Amino acid sequence: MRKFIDLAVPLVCGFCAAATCSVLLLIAAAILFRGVPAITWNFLTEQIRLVGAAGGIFYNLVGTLILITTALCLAGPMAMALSLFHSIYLKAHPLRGYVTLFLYTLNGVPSILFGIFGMIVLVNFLGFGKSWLNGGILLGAMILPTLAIALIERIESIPVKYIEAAAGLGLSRSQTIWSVIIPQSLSGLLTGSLLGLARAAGETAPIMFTATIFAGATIPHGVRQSPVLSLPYHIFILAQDSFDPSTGTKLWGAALVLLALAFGLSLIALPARLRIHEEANH
Amino acid sequence: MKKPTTEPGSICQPGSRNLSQPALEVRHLSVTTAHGKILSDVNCAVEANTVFGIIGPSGAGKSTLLRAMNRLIDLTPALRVEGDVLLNGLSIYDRCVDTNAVRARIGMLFQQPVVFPATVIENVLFGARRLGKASRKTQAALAEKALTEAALWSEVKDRLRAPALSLSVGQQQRLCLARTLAVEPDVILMDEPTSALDPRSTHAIEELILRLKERHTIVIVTHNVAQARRITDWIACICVRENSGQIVESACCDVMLENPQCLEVIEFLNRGGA
Repeated sequence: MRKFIDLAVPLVCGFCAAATCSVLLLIAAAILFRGVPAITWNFLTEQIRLVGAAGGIFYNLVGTLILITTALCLAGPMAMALSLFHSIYLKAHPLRGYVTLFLYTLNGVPSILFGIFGMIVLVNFLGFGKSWLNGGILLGAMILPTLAIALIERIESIPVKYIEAAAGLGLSRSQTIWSVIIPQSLSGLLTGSLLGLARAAGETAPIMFTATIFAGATIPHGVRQSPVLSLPYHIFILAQDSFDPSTGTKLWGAALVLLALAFGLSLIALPARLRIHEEANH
Repeated sequence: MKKPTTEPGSICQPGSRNLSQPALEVRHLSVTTAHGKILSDVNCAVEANTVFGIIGPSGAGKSTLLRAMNRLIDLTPALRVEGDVLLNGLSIYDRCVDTNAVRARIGMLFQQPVVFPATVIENVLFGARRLGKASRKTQAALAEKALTEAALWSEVKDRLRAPALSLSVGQQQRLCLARTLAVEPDVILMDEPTSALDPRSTHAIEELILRLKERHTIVIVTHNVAQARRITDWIACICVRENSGQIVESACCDVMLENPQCLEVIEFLNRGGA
């Protein structure tokens, strides 16, 4: 019986691992298989024409990059400040538990609620109309907990000896933060950014009412009434509304570009992540 | 070897030395946690330009005392300190005192070398640069001076831009000492600085300590009685009495090691200091 269990446990575990990997592989294979025929130079460099049946996704790609860059620029410093406040200044304070609870709760808020909140507050109350900034703010708020939690985990794993060594030299708390804690937590910022951006790049619900339109937008020149095109909304509309086979190919092409964007972000950051891990493990 | 000016053998009388103005003086220091006292009514005085050894069994509170001497203990909020520590006659626990300035004047060398994941030169200047003690023009000279003082210059002068983590453990410990020296402290606290080192590196650090005392005051925690005999001028032995660490005997090195008076010290020395 014991021999059977010894044999069965790795088999079940292996099956689960294979099933999980195969989900990703199946998605990637399906998108690659159907999306590759759509990928041409013109597809990537032209703007949308004929309600998505012709032209390309240039401004959708640009719009998505604008949205996730804005989200990262807003959420990155906020997450860094929040995690420092949580892990350094609230180190032995009862409020610390509430901040953690807040972060996990914010992480669990459904994305459609961010969209509704953005529409009521940013679009209507503040009068921004549909704007790329709304999208950046909302996506930033969505990835903030992911970023902050990754940073908190990193900061709390920094060996105390470094902090003591810096303090022992006479460095103030803020000098220790700048010279020891922030440089050592960059890997957390990178990991959190990747996880957050991969999520933000594919989100449709927070931006569909607040930041993005299907066609007719290029590079925004202001804030008010300055929507952008975006890849997820493009895919959403094409998938929902179109029965035209040529539009279908464009849809898979756009999905492939979105997938490549997420993978590309990971690959760009990989050498930096490996280097930081190597230094940390010394 | 400069000896403290009080009569040797003032044993079992913590704080009985009455010098005009010691470099560092601990007065009625107690450290308490929620579970009880770690240190109780510790008194001792460290003369300038001497090596003051703190010996005693593990868990007696030697490192805690050392951390209280430069307020590094403040980083552990669960510990409460009562009593006082005076640096050149001035309280370091006074409310008006800048804790960071105190730590810059009373440097610390830890048991394990703590080098930052940066180059050798960046490590040497880590504190000095941030404390405004090294401008762009002077930092190269300051680094050379500190590394020379730490007897490391000849070994690393061609590797200043190499990662500090590529140095041997003994070199890393001397690098940490150079980093502390670059801040120009009056007193250097050393918490078993050679416990992680091989005999050769230990010998190098001991020679350094003897050289450094010409310009600095040194307080060293050590388990190694032979080391204490080689390098210290005055020794205080901390043992646990009534569930808290206390200085049970304090005397000049020779007297303490040749003719200890307290039973705890005799037992400790008979065990070889382990």
